[in-house]
Amino acid sequence: MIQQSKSKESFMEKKKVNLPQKDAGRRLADRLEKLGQQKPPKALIEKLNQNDREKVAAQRNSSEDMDI
Amino acid sequence: MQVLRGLDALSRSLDNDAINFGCLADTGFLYALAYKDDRLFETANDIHDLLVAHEVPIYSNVISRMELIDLIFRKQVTIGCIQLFESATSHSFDKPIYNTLKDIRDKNTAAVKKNESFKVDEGRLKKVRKQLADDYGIADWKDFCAKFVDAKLANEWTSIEQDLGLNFIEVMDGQESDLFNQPLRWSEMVALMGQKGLRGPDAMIANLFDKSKLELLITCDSDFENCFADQIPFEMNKTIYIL
Repeated sequence: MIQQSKSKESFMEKKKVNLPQKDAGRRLADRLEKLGQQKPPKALIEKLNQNDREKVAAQRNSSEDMDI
Repeated sequence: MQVLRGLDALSRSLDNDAINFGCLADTGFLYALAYKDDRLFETANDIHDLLVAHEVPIYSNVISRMELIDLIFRKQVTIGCIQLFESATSHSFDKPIYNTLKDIRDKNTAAVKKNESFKVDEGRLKKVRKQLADDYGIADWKDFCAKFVDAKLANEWTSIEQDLGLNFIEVMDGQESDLFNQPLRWSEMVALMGQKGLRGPDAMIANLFDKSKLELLITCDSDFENCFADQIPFEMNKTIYIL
C-alpha cells in the first residue's frame, strides 16, 4: 500500500497531474447559471419588438383605410 | 474487470483498491457536473467529491474535450435563445425568428419535465444564426454571442480544466506514453467500431481505456458494460462505473 502510494505520488509529480478540487462542479454550475441569467443585448430586443410594433401599426392603418 | 453502480459501491471500491493512475471520464459525466438541469447533476457531483477525497486524477481524450465544450456552447446558446424569446413583448407568429425561438423554448420546457438538459442541435443553431443575421444583421448575432458565450466561454474553460481537475490525453497513433501499457493504434480503434458496432467517439474511449493504465472508467453509457463484458481481454484491476 505504501509502495503504491509512493508510485502514485512520483507519477503525478512527474506528469504535473491536475487534481480535482472540492465542490468545483457545483461552483461551475452556479457560474454557468449566472451567465445564462443575463438579459440579451438591448439593441436586439428593441429590434425584435420594434418590428412587431411597426407591423401591428401597419396592419391597423391598412384596416382603417379599408373602412374608409 | 468489474462493473459498479451506485455511490456506495464506488466509495467501497476506492477505499479498498488504491487508484494509482486515475480515471477516464466520458463527456456525459463531465457535462452532468456543470448543469443543474441534467438528471445526473447531483450524482455526478457526489462522484466528483469522492474523486477529490481520494485524489483521483480525471482523464479525458481530445474528442471528449471537444464534445464537452461543444455541449457547453450549445447549452449557453439555448439559454440565450430562451432569454431572447422571453424578452419579446408581442407574439408575432408570422416572424420566422420568433417561431424558432419559441420552438427552442418549448423543447426546453418539455426536456425539463423529463429531467433532461436540452441543448440546441446543429440544425436549430444554424437556423437561429441565419434568421438573426438575415433579419437584423450579423452584428446582432455577434452581440448575442458576446453576451452568452464569447470570452466568458474561454474564461470558464480555463477554470473548468483546472478546478474540475481534468487532464487531457493527446497521443498520436502508435506513440508511447507513461499512461499506457501499449501504444494506441488507430487501426485497433477502427476494428473495435466494426466488431462492436460502436460509434467512433465511443470506440476511442473503449480502446483508450483498454490500452491505458487507468484503472477506472466513469460513464453515463451502459453500452460500455456490454462492449467490455464479452471479449476484450481486460486486466483484472479495471473497473467501469456506470452512473
